[in-house]
Amino acid sequence: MSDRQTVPMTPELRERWQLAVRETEAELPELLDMGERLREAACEDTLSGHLRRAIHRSRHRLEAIAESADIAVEDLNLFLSGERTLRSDVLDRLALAVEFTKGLQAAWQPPEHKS
Amino acid sequence: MRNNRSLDALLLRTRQDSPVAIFPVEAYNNAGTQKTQQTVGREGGHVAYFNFQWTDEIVEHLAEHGVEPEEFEEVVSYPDRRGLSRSSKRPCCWGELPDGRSLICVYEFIDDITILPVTAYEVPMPGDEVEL
Repeated sequence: MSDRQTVPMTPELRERWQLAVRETEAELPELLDMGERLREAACEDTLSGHLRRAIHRSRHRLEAIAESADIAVEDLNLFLSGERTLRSDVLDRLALAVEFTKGLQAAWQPPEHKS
Repeated sequence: MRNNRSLDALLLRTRQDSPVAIFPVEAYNNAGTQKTQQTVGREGGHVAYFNFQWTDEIVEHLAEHGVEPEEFEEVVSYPDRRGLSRSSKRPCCWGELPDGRSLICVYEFIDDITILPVTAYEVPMPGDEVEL
């Protein structure tokens, strides 16, 4: 058993937690299926795949990322699982929200000019 | 009392090649009344702060699934993948542990940085045989 400190559970918190556990148990097959779709979509060696990985690594909540990109979090969820494509302007805003372009800028080298 | 703004200001960047470290420290939740555990972690070059609201019931529930609180915190702090459940819209994430196990962790946000762990399950790794 962990020696981690715990706090007492209030009746309200217990009710909320027990409901969450019951609902999660009911939707577990769906969650396992979604996990596999998320993995496959994130493994794509495409711009979308790289962006998905940046979103998964971001410290920001998905809701905050979706808000920054001006899309519904459900649409972001479908993009992450590869079930929805997004317009290029939305992809641009997502890239900004997770600072995806900083890595690209660091890796970019100006082309050599031919004289 | 700490607020989200002050905690957000503590978000630090670390080197990509710096060792992964989790430093459990005592912190106070936003109500400023109850001690919780705060995990400082590295996440793809970022450091994420979460307060995990652990209770005896939740710790016991996770133990029934073979998951320790430290393991739950590690997966949530360094997820390989994140998503929202379709039905309940509850946040969940997937990640691997140093011992090779793969977990799905489901949780709720009490506020911007305080997490209520809901449950966790060990899931088969890609390519593992699944008994039907």
